[in-house]
Amino acid sequence: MIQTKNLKKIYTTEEVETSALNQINLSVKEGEFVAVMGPSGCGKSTLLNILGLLDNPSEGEYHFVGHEVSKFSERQRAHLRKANIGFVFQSFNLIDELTVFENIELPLLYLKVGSGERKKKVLEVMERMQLIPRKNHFPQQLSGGQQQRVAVARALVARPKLILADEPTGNLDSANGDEVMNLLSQLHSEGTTIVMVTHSPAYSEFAQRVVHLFDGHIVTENFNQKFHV
Amino acid sequence: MFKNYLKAALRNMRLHKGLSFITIFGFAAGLACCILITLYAIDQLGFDRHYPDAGRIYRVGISAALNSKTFNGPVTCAPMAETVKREIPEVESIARFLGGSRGAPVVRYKDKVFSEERFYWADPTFFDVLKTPFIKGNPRTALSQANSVVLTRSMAKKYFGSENPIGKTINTDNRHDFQVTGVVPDVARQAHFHYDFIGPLAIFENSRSTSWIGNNFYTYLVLRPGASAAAVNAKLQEIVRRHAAPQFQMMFGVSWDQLLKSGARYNYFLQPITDIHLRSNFEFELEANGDVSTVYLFSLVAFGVFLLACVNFINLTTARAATRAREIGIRKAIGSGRGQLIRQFLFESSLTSFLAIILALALAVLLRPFFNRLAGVNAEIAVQGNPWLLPILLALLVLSGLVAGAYPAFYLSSFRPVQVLKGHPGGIKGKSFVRSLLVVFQFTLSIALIIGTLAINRQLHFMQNKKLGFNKEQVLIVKKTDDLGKQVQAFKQELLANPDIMAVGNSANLMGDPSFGDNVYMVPGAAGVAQQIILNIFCDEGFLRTFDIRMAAGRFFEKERQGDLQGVVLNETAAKALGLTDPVGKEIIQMIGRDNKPSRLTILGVMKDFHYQSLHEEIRPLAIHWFGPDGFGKMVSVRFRTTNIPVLLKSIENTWKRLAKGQAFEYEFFDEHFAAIYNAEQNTGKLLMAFSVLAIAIACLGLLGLATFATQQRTKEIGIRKVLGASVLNLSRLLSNEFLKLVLLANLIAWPLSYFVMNRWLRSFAYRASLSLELFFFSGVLALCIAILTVSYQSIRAARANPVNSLRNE
Repeated sequence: MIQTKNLKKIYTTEEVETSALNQINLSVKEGEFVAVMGPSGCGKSTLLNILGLLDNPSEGEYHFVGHEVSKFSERQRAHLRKANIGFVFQSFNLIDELTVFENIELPLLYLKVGSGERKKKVLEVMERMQLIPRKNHFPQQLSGGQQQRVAVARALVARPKLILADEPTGNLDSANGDEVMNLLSQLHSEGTTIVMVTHSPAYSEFAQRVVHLFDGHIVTENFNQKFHV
Repeated sequence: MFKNYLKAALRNMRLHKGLSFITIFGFAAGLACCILITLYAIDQLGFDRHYPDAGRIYRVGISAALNSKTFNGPVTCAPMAETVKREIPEVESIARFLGGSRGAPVVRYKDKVFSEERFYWADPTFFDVLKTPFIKGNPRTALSQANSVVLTRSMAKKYFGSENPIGKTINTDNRHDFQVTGVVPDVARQAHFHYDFIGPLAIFENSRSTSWIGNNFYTYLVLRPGASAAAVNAKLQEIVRRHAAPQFQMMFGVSWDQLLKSGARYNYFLQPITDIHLRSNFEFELEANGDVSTVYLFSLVAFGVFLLACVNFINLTTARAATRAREIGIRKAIGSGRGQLIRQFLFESSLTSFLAIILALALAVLLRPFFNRLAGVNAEIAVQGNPWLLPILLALLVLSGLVAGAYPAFYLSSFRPVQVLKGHPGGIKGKSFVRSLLVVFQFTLSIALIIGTLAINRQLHFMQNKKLGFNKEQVLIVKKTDDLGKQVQAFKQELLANPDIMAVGNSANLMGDPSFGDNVYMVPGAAGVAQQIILNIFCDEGFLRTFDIRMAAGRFFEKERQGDLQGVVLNETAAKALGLTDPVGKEIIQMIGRDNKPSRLTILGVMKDFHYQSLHEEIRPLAIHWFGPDGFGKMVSVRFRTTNIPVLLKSIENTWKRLAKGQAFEYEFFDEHFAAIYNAEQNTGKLLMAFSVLAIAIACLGLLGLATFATQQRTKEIGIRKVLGASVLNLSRLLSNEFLKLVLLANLIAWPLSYFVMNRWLRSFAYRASLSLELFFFSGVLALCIAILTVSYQSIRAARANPVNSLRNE
């Protein structure tokens, strides 16, 4: 599903060039759960943004669901993104002006799904996330864990092939963090491909494979034993 | 999808109540202003279009230069109309008339006696040209008799009440009797002149004159459908060559071609009736016209205010980008294309414009009476039932939605999700250049408006305080004294017995009147074109003393000298114009004297020049005529020396009541009457003032919004600086400086701009105040102070905040 070849990302400011990613060769198969770990500033989020088609690499190739996308325009990326990728952010990134229901509904609106089907899908995913009682609440009226559940629901609602989670537990206490991780692992067991950035070694255990980044390089790739019986 | 947009927009508004209010209210104020001015412009452009075939009606005017004197006016000579009708087949019908304020006969019916300023004398074809539906009578025959008169509905009511006016006889000036043959509706407000009576022109002997020299008649004509005005203009020049040229040749003793070669010019031209109100400003206009440049000026200002309001909208919306950025990022990450975001923001701006327009409409209705007062007497804005209102509103809605919404929509939708989700609103810093430009634009306009307002007020002040050559203070005018008839003499005598009253003068017109009657004068036996059109004042012997006017030579009229009826007093300019070096005792000829025949007059004296017209004009030649012992005029001017005005008024009113038999006592203070000649300027000044306040208010609202966002964006920086030891003063200066620089720059642009515009405006005054530097300086400092106050509120608040709060936020 994902294959990168000598991926490079260089940030240029007026005076300095900073290389955020260097020679990244990574492949993720369909149905895989990959965790990306590494210290602050190692390039985790940059990698995730490129994988999520929010940004283009400076050099190298990126094959996503059969397309070479590294030179795609923003419009092309947006098109591919909305049909295939769901995002979960550390800071939830819900739209404050919209209710829980409307937030979850949004990706379907952009996919121009008809209103009847939209409602059905949103309610389905809300039920699964136990969000029905919160349907008409606004994000500020929810706890952090609940907000992240809404974010996950929003990422899921369009049934994307890939979910990208950028420290989804970073702003949560351990109880809420566990809950979110259980949710993700459940999704994985149902066949969703997940790439997750995390700082937490404990949560990285949920993934099949852990990729360690350091200064823009992949230093190690470990396979979790429990998935390799 | 739109439901989603609508929800997001409305909830966003609710979340930022204050800012949404600023945005919408600022926008509405600008739009209200636009609505009013557009309606005003439409009203002004719609004059004289109510006449059937208005597009084919023209007035004939003259543009002439003879012996290095120029004469331009809306008048023609007597034989022209008939000649044109005979020789130019394109002309369907043509009519001449005279009258209006030049004359004002006293009209009597039984015990009702009034002086009528809107009494016109016209050819029988008058209603063929200026077609009007008759309420009573037949338009074809109404003016066919030498003693017929047509009057308006309100005159019929005034003189005859509920009686049928047809066949009734009225008398003018105790000389002529006329039979009412028709009643017409009152002339529409949107007309360049208004008549109350139309009598037969034939009673004037000079209407049958065959002289092509001397232009006294207003001539209007209708062209046949499809006829070209340019072709008729050319034919008019041929007519001049055929008919006028021989007469000039005889007069000057040189051939017409030689005269033309020496630079002379004598052209009649057609002027579309629909152009008269706004584009005609000759001497001898029938009524004071509007001015197309005022309409343009107002429209320009309205457009400026509209842009200002749009700019505000753009600035506030893009500045709010900082808070919307995250939403945009999320929407993009989730799958929104750029097009969808553009649509969303255009929708939001349209929604805002829509709300603003509703508010603007309410504001326009509220402000209408105020605006009508400012716009002057011959402008009126109807909001209810105005057919133009809806199209204007729709156009404004579309225009403002696009103008104000487009930039924010494209700008906001261009944010890159990666950056904005990380909390760096993509590129906001870089694009603040556009916002700065817009702030500069707003303040340039505001400062220019302040300078304009100040310059106009200064000119008004100058005009009100300039030495005029007469004393306009401490004079009261008693109006409609012609109602007293010969009792005027008794009235004057009784007033003079009051020790508080120093002098009393009776006159038919006064300094500051919108127009003056005139006559043609010449020096007997003088060679060449010594004919002069000279304005007239008719008065009694007390006039000079009442207004403290000084004589330069000779004497003024004296009560005991009956012979002074054959005398005249000139001002210095008139004596000079007639080429008289030692005028006192010399004779001049008045071309249309008493009984409409030329008469010889002796110059009794010369007055020192005084400004009897507005300071727009150079002092023009003036001839003063005496009423004589039996004559009387419309008003009595009273010079008083008391400060107890109520007692004075009571005493004058008592005298009036004893003599006037039930006529109402009407009075006015002369200085107020005289100030009225600057009404147009005063109104322009007030309106510009209103615009300046509006512009500054809008600009400040915008600045306030921008400052709010700028400080929000820099909270972290402020926190860090504060931790490092910056004081509140340091910080607020840091935050304010950025904006103040823009206001300074706006000054630099506004100064030369407004100098150029105001200098042009001032050039329309023959006597004017100077545009001094301090005026510009003051305006700049004023704008700067207002800007500082606006910005510092935000910056001080931000600078005083606890830095812990802003730094914790990561």
